[in-house]
Amino acid sequence: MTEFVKFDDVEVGLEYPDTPVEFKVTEDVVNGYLGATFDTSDVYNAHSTAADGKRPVPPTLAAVYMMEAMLMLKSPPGGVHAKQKFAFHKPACVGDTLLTKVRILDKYQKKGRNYVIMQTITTNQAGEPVTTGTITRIWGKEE
Amino acid sequence: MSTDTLQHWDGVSVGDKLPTIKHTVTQEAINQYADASGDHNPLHIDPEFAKGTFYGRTIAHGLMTLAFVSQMMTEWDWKGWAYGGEIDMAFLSPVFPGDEVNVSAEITAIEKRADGVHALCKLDVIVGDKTILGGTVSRLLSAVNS
Repeated sequence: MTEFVKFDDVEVGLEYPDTPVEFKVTEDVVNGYLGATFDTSDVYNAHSTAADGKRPVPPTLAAVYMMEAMLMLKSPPGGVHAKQKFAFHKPACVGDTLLTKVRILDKYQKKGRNYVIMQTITTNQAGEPVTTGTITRIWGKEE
Repeated sequence: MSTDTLQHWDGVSVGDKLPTIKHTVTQEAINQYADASGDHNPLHIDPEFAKGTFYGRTIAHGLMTLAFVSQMMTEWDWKGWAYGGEIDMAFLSPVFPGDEVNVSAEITAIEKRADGVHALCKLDVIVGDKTILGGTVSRLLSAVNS
């Protein structure tokens, strides 16, 4: 899935990839996210907040660790997010390895735009649910 | 599965306002977010490409604005947000470089569900008088076993 996928070729029900996308939560990843979003919260910059002494990350880092899996199905340029749901089950922490899979839930057309709805399911290295996401993407126009 | 609706729970009441968050988004921050997220869609980082799009110029990633909502929830109660929080929102208007984004919310319901008590809030995310995000956000006030 390295080329752009035309809207007509998006397959509802498709689950991908066969092997979940692995994402390592590193200090650099977290610091980059906090910097880009002006987040100076003590809770994410301390190492002792979580019960096990790990450094928790903002739940919305989900927008980063689910991205590679989501973008494996490539929209033509110009596609954007229209809607986003997340349910946060357990915080990810620095040092975790997260695994994400995607399922295409639906697609439709409205007011001349093409929409694709995807679900992302992320677990941690222990198999515990971390985040479930539902994304509505406006599919980029095909040239 | 039944849901009981409450007006108050442990010092939290319907109508309470959450802490507010305010940030001015810059192209530099958008570029940083592209690097942090791995989303290098030219609509966000390439002014020449963006000129030819519906928007006419670059826009911030919608998910960047989502981070500001998370900051508000974290300031309120990070554990209730990280363990059982939910967000359901639509990106209604783009955020352009230079825009000041204001994030606030009000508790509209307190629900007792099978897994615990949740506070549901209506989001108000604006630039000037323009609504950027619409939707709801919630946190867990009390888990069943806590």
